[in-house]
Order: sequence, then C-alpha cells, then structure tokens
Amino acid sequence: MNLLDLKIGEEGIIKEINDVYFIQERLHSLGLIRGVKIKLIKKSPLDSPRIYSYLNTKLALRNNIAKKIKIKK
Amino acid sequence: MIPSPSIKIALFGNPNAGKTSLLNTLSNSSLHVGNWPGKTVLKKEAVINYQGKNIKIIDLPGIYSLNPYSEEEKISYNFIVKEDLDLIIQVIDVNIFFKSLFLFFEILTLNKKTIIILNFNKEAEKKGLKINIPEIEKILKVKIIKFEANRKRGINTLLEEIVKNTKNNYSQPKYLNTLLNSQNKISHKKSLDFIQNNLNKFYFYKNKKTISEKIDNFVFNKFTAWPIFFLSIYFLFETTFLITSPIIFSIRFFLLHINFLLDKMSLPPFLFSFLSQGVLGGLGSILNFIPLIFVLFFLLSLMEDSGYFARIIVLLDRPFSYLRVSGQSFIPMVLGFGCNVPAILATRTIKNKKERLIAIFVNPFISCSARLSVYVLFAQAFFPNHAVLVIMFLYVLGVFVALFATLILSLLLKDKNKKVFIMEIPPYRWPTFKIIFKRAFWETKLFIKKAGSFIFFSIIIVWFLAYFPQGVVYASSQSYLGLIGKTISPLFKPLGFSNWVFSVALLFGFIAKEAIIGVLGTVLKIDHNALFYVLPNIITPSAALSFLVFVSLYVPCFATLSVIKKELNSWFLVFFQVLIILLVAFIFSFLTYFFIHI
Repeated sequence: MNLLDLKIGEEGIIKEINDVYFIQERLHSLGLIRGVKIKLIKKSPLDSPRIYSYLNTKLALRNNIAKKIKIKK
Repeated sequence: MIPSPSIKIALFGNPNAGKTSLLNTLSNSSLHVGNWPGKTVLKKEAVINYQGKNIKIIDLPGIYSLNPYSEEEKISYNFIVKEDLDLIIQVIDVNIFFKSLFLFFEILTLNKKTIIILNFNKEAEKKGLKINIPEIEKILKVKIIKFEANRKRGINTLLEEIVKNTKNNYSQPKYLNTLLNSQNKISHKKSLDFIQNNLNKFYFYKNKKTISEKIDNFVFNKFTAWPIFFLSIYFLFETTFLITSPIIFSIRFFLLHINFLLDKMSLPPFLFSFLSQGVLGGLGSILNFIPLIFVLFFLLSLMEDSGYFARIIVLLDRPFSYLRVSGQSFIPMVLGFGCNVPAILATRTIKNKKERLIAIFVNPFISCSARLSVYVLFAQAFFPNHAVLVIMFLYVLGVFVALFATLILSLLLKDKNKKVFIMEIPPYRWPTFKIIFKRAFWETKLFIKKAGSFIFFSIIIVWFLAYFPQGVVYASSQSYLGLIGKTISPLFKPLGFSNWVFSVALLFGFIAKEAIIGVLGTVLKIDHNALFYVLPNIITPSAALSFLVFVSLYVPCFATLSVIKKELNSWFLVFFQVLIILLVAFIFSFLTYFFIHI
C-alpha cells in the first residue's frame, strides 16, 4: 500500500520510495525515510495535496508524490 | 591601526527554524522573519559589537540537506563549504528536533566548529515536550543553547557562549563514522536509527491536540475552507486598496494644491510645464505607490507569519498544478487586479525561482484598476447597452491570457524542482508586530530607492518629448511625442486605430494607464466629458474594442516595469518581456478587430 491508502488519522510506516533518484533524495532529506511513522491528518478540500505528520512535522504532499511512497501498517 | 578582533559566524538550519528572527534580535536590524518555509532568498548579515569584538553574523537561506536542490540551498551550501567560519550555529525548532538532526549530522561532516541553538522552547513546553538537554549534549558531543529567537532575554549569555565556543578546540565526534554510507555521505537511515536508539528516552512528547490542529479543522474543512479563504483574500485585497485610497487621494490633492500655487507664481511657461507636468507628475506617480506597498507588505507579512499563507497555498495547489505551477502563484495574481506593482513585489513569496519568473512575467496581463477608467469611458461611449459585458470580457481576457501564458512558460522552462511540490505546514503563531512593521517599512524604502528614480526620469522624458520643440502645443502633433505617434500609427492599421491620437495615448499609457484618457482629452483639445461624444466619431466600435484589448494587454506602466527590473535584476529580461507582451497584445487586438464586427 502507499500513502494515498491511508484514511484520516491512520498511521503507517514508510517502506520505500519508488521514484527517480532526485525525488527520493529530496524526500529523504525531509525525513521521509524507511522506518519513519507517518500519519494522514488532513485532506485539503480538493483532495490534493494532503497533509501528513511525521517526526512532529506537518507536510503537504501532492497525491502524485504520495502515491510513490510505499508504506506498511 | 590594529583592527579590532572579529569573529565570523553563520546561522544555519531548516527553513522556518527562526534564523532570521534570531539575527533580528541580536542585531536589532530590520530584516524580515517569516512563518513559512523558504523566506531568506539571499544571505543577510549583521555586524554586532560585543565586549570590543566585532561579531559578523551571516543568515543563510534555510535548507533541509547539504545536497543542494533549490537556488537558496545552493547559496547556503556553497557558502558553508567554502567560507572560513569561526563558528556554525545550527538553529533548530525544538518541536522538530529529531528531523533537524539529519542536517546536523551532515554539517558535522564539514569538520567545522558547530553549536546548536534551540528555538520555540516555550511553544514546545506548552505542547508537552520533555527534553533532557545535558544528556543529549553528551550523546551528540555538541553545545546546545536554549534561546527564544524573538525575545531579548538572555541575549548577553548567548553572546558570551558564542564567543566562548569560537575559542574551544574542536574535534569531529567519533559516532559520525557509524552514520556514513558506502559513499562516505551521511546515511539518512543510519541517522534515524542512531537517533531512535540513543535519544528517544531524552526527548518525547505527551501529544495533545494543539490549537493549530483545531484551527486547521476549519481551515481545511470542505464546508468552511472556502468561506474562510474568500474572506481573508477579500480582507487582503480590500484593505490594501480601500484603506490606501483616501491617503492616495490626499497625496493627489496636496500635489494639486502645489500645482495651483505654481500656477499663481506666473513662472515662465517652460518652467511651469516642467515643474507641473514633469516633476510633480513624476513625484506623484511614486508617492501614489508608497501607501500601497506599505499596507500590502504589512498584511502579507501578517498572513505569512501567522501561518495562514502556507494554508492558502495548499488550498489552491490543485488548480494551479494543472498549469504546472503551484498554489504559490495565486496571491500575486489576485493582487494584480488592484495594481501590478505590489503584485510583482508579492511574487517574492514564491519559493521556486522559475515559478517566480513566470509569475512576474504574466502578472501585467491581469487588468489593474488603472485600466478600468479607460474601459469604463470607452465601453460607455461605444457600447452604452453592453458596457458591463465589455468590461467583463476585458477582465476575463486578461485572466485567460495570464493563465495560458503560465502554462506555456512552465512547459518551456523545465525544472525538476517544480515537480515536487512539498510544503511544510507550520503551526499557527502570533506574529510579532514590530517585525511586520519593520518589513513593510523596509520594502517601501527599497521600492523608493530601487524603482523611484526610474519612474521619475521616465516620466520626465515623456514630458520632454511632449513639450518640445519649443513653442508647440503640449502633446500636439508637432511635438516630438506627436511625431513619434504619427510615425508608429500605421502599425496599428491592422488593429483599426491608426489615427495618431491613439498612438500618442498609448505612449502616455507608459506613465500610467489612466493617463490615456487625460491625454486623449488634451490632444483632441476637449474636456474629458466631451470624449464620450467625440470618440465615436473618430473610430468604429470594433476598432474601439480592439483598442481596449490592446490597452488591457500591452506594456505595463513605468512603475510596473521598474519593479520588474528590480525583481529580475536584468534589463534584458525586461526588454524581452516588453517585446513578448506587445506581440501578444497585437495578436489579440488583431483577432478582435478581425472577427468582431459591430
């Protein structure tokens, strides 16, 4: 499953990021790393971006990026 | 003379950690601090004197990693790697301490003296944070200082610690080797494991539902999000343009009064015209923008620093993502309806460099309020039964062209950074009014300094061309301006308004769009009100519509050009933009004249 499968308030653990190296690195540097717990807190009214929280930060991610982040429950 | 001993330090850290705020507090300077990621576009510095030592503090753009991705990150990265620094201070928002440590480990690889300042401690305490600093210091082998960046309290202790730490011997901590990957770079995964294995017991949250989350329940709620959004935009727009209008009116009244006094002094006609139409005209044009820019930046900073701005960007990201840009492009576009000058200055809130360039480029297409006076007069004179429809058409056309140009430009200017729209959502914070006020003041000052002389002198040049050669009637067909108008007027033949009067009017439109009406009156030697009856005798309604389309799209006024130059810092780009805009205006006017027969 990926980040888009999370319901509001649900939490998952990041497994891997399936994207080009550049985007992977970018997300890593923001702390989106294998093993980090991540939770969906809000969907914006137009659905994308959605807001996630992890490591005490809140981050807005477009759905096309969120789709690439694989998680496990 | 022996130079006084000086110390050079750099502030480093994630965006929004409070670096600029800290520099502000330390130096009492008027730099701006924002509550959303990516504020410091260029590095800022301040020199302070502490116990006979000059301490130079450099504030670098916030970054997440030493792998530079964006323009700002490159500035920070190049600086920190090359520069000879006595101390690096990493400023960390204590609320996101763990996340900030990824950058900390990367900084350690540079083998330069580093300390940590923790910011937002009070806020974290309220949220239920428990942190054991002495233990963490022992594990990370780094000095950690707690300091509230927007308060003065403890400033001397902080400076003392800073000076003391520049003298300490420094050696890279041993644990750093265990964090490296096969390429000798910091491994994010290993860093995370290190943090979770060693620091978890000294830093933890009793997670309570924060006020920020409660506010966000409304801000992002399907039903309440849009009303709140429209109200805040309405507030931003109306306050900026309504509150300032009596001030602008007073300025105009004051200038009119001076003009009146000049008139009574029976000066030679040359001097009177120079002072009245040249100098006062130029000054008036600059003065008009001052209240506008001040109020706009005050309100923009208020929205940014409170944290709501970041939410607006998220709310609007989806529609703008279809144009290959982000929600950040929205605010400048809206402000363009009032005036393109503050709108272009407001593009500074756009983090991505290419997206900002696009936003600056397309903004003049949005119909500013000065153009409305031209629309109203022509629409009423030529289309008395459909005036509102015509005006709406012009506004919609402007928006359409701006959005379409955005799409085209973003397809042309490829940038892999734009694909990853990632925005940190800061908690809501009370803005510090002193800082907001200072920023508005600073921006206004910068506008006068950077744009003032350009606006002033270009207006003087137009005056010169309209007044000379000596003895001709101001802006008449014998004046230089009239001659230029006559020379270029055949160009407008395909557009339907080849009468030289309109060419001169368009040239005057450079000063300000509303000047078009005034100069038409002057040139035709009639009262402004009489234009209403006279204009329909000169051109056909389709030509009038074509003229309006041209006015709505063609070259922005001098003031707008001057801020475009100020923001892009390149005459070439300004020239290029003018050329493209003229071409676009020409094409749309031609299509209007060709296809619409009334």
